[in-house]
Amino acid sequence: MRETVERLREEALAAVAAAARPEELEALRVRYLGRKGELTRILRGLGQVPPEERPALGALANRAREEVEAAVASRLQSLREEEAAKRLSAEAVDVTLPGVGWPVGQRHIVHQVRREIEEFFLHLGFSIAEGPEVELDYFNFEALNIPRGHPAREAQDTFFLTDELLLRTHTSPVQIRVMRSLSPRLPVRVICPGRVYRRDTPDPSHLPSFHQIEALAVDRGVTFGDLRGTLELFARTIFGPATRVRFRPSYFPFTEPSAEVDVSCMCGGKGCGVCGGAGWVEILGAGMVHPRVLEHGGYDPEEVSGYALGLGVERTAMLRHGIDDMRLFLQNDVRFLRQFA
Amino acid sequence: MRVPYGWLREFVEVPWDPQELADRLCLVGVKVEAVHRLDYPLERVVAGRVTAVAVHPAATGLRVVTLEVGAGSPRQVVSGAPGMAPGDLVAVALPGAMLPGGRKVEETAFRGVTSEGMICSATELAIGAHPVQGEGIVKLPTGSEPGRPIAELAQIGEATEWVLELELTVNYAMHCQSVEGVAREVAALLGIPWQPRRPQVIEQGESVETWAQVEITDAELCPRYVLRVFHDLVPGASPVWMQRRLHAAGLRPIGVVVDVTNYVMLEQGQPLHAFDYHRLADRRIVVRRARDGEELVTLDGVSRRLDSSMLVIADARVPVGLAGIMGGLDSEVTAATRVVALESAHFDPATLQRTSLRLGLRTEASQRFSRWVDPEGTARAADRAAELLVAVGAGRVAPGSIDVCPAPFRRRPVHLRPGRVASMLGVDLQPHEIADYLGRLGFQTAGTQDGYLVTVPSWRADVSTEADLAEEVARLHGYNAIRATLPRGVLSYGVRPARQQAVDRVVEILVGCGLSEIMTSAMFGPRAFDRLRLEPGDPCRRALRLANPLMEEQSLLRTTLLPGLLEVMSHNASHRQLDVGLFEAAVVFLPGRDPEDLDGYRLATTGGDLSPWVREELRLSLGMMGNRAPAHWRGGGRVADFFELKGVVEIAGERLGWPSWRFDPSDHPTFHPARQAWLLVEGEKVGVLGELHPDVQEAFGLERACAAELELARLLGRSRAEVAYRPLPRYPAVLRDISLLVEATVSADRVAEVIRRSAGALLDRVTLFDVYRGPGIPEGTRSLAYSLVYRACDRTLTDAEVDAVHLGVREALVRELGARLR
Repeated sequence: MRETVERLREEALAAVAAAARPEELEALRVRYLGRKGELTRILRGLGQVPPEERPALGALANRAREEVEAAVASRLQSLREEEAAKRLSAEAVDVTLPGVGWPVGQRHIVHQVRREIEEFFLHLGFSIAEGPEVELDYFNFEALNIPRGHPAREAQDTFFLTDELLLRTHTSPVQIRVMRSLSPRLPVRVICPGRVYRRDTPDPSHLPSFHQIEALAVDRGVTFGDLRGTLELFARTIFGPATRVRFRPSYFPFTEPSAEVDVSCMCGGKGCGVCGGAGWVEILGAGMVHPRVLEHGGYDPEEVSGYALGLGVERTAMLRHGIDDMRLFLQNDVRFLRQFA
Repeated sequence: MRVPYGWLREFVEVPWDPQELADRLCLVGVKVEAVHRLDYPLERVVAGRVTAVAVHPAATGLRVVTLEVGAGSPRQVVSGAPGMAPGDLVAVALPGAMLPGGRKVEETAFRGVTSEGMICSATELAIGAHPVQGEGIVKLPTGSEPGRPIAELAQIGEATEWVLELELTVNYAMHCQSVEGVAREVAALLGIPWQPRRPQVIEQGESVETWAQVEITDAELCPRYVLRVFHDLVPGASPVWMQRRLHAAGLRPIGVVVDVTNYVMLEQGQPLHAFDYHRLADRRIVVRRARDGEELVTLDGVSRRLDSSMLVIADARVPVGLAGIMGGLDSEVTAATRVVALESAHFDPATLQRTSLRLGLRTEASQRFSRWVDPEGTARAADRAAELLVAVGAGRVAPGSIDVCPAPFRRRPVHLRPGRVASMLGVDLQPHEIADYLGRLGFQTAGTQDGYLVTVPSWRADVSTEADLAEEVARLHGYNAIRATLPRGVLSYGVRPARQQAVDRVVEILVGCGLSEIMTSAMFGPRAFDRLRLEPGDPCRRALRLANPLMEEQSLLRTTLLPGLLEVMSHNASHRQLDVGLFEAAVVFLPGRDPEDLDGYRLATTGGDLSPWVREELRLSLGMMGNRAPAHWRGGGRVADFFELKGVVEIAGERLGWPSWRFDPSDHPTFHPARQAWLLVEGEKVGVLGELHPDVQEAFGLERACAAELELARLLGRSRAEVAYRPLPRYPAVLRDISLLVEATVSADRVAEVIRRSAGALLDRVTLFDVYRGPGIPEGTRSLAYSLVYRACDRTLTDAEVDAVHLGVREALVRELGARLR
């Protein structure tokens, strides 16, 4: 009897190990462990075994039964895994095939840069003000200390609609409008972004219209040092933390003292096409608000002082991204636009 | 303005090399655009006298010139230069000479004739290589001994000269358009006292008063006029050293008298003019306004019609020069001139500027006079010209000068409070330091109770206020020496205007829909309207016109964004960029009241609202063509048609929460007559969208494309803060589909409306999932299939409940639309 159990056990285990399909396993399970299975039969037939042998033989048969059960289960598990693996591997794709594209949009690079500059000033506590593009001669020139016949009018070739109406040549007229609406409240901290117009024939560095951002700070005790501080922070934010700033005396009718501001070129002064080897590139004009302009804005220059600065958005974008032709901005070739996604 | 470094060093000891000088000048405000290098040939270039000139036997364009050049004479040289005659003194480069650019002169043969050297032009001598183009042979002054090295004649000490090219701002142009002006700045930088040099004039003959008379009739336009007379002139070329400097500074040598006047102008900034004395009727100079209609032929040979706003120099009868701008042709100094009247005057800058602009005539003189010329420098400049004339042996100087000064220059002192200047700059400067900086720049300071009374030097007309003086102090102190701080005081919070925030949201949505933002010109031309097929009376055609456009096609302020958008699509299509989706948020300019009836000053003082004349209206344009999704190996691109575009508008509408909006068929001439729609918000048209009319597509070189133009200001929608949360559904939905056949003329909107109304409150959502027209259904009808989602917010619906409502929907469709249910 003992031998029979042992034989059945070995037979069953070998058959289970050899089974290749779940159905075969099921058949084996029925054959050995089913209600009429061979091992089951032995356990049922324990009654015919002498009582003194019963416990030992029962234990043996039970162990064999459990062993075969476990073998069937484990074999079934591995057969299922094999099957799944085979099925999945048949579903293989070439992962190097390109993924499916989506139409991806983006803002125009000029507006991206404009917003970045705006964000810088918003964080410093400057609010955004807007003004009309068709402007009065008075706001564009007179109130900014550029009377008729002033040479600065010659330098900014202007599109006129009538004697009194023109396309603004800079965003500075918004300064006057803002001061007039705020006066006598302090402090004045605004930026005026917007489109401006110059009567220039388009070429790589000129367009008849481009964007400027003007910043104006008026308060008691605003200093030229504050202007320097603001611009140093600005340059590091927009052009990178290693950027240095250089001020040069210059001339604008609406500021005094006036400065042109250079930033260190990305070439690190080694010389490149952008800076022409000088190591510095001009980015903006700035200065202390001219006393007469403060007066036009409704503030007493004896009481308050202010600084103003104005920069070209296109120029900033060109410097930062190495764009060498301003006309690209208005051409809107999607191959250009998509580079700044 | 070009300043030769060597010339500058005659006036101030410069301790820096040219590049460093340039950098330092930049930092005090005298912007140096570039530093140029000029190399002079020194070896084996000598003076030569032309003894014979013959036409080359084989080439009529060439001359065979025989020259006396000292040792080794005569020499024969082949030259292409015209206008040489026996007796001319020229510069000859002998074989072995090295010319600029490393070119070596050798003995060669030109078509069979040997040439033993070459006759030099200004280019070859590097005295005119830049920037004057096309100059001829350099002629040497009388007395230049043949065979003498040119280096000696030109007094060239060093083989290299450096030239600083200045780009002056308006204020520096008032006092730095001269070698002395720049030298004065350098002296101030160095802290060296500046003293102008006093010319030593050797005078001979009759006193100037016996030669001429000067009268000024308009003291305002000409406050001062100085006249000297030069006689016994020896015509010819100026010395090579002078020519070299003129060339280096960018002027063309003409003849000794004119060269002397130009030399003084470059040196001192005072333009001079020499009149041929014998051409002056009655030996008189009258400075007066031109008479209306009076004419003058200027030196450039152009006849100019003058008017009484212009100032002229006249003789007893007619104008002989346009004051401060250009002389007259009749009184031009020529080789035959033996006596000249030399003018050194001060003119009103504004008048000259206006005249110069009116006549479109800019000269070296007008560029200086229209800025500022030191009114106290007139006599010294005339003296310097006299000194030079004698020194170069070009003639004699009549004793004395006529100096008419009807309006002596008055200096206006400026009050300066050192404490205020220091605090405005944010620097810690003591009063005496401020006074010292100003003193170095030629300002005189006198102490007062609370500061200084500052006298501005006569050459600094750009300085008239305390703020101007602050700039002078700052630039000498060094802008970059001022400590950087940040504004102090009350904290402020930066605010982006609500409108901009709203526009940004729209832009964000459109970018999310895969569209690229574009930026187009705000100007277009009348042809744009025709290309859009607009009727003659279309209100869009009423546009504001520029008085001075660059060109007709950029002469109007845009009243629609469509032409700009279509141009961009056209550009991309022509560059084979066919799958494109674009948008632009920008203003158009809508005219109102007649802008000619606008009193700018009054308007400015009463608030400055220009909108009654020009309304700047915010618009949104959208454009699509080609495939919406990029091409892919799995295929299946979506053609950018009407519904693709409409889908974008719908996404914007849903996300922005426009109040009751819909689309209606439209009849805009720019679009396909049967594939376009108005967008209506609360019953009002706020824009149009559609596929483009085939003619418009053709006009812009486009295949199938669609576009939209919307009034953005009315589509900004609610702000995010206004969005109220709706709870998520807690009870399950019941789904039912309906498929129906209706007349094709029944719009989908109408069907959806009937479904919604008849289903009532239990209908959660209705979605159109199929539209069919074609074989299998009767002509003139179409099949629509909807899926309806029913749901109650407070309970689980029973089938019976839904069946009842759904039956109502089916009946309503049959009853109201004559639908056949399928």
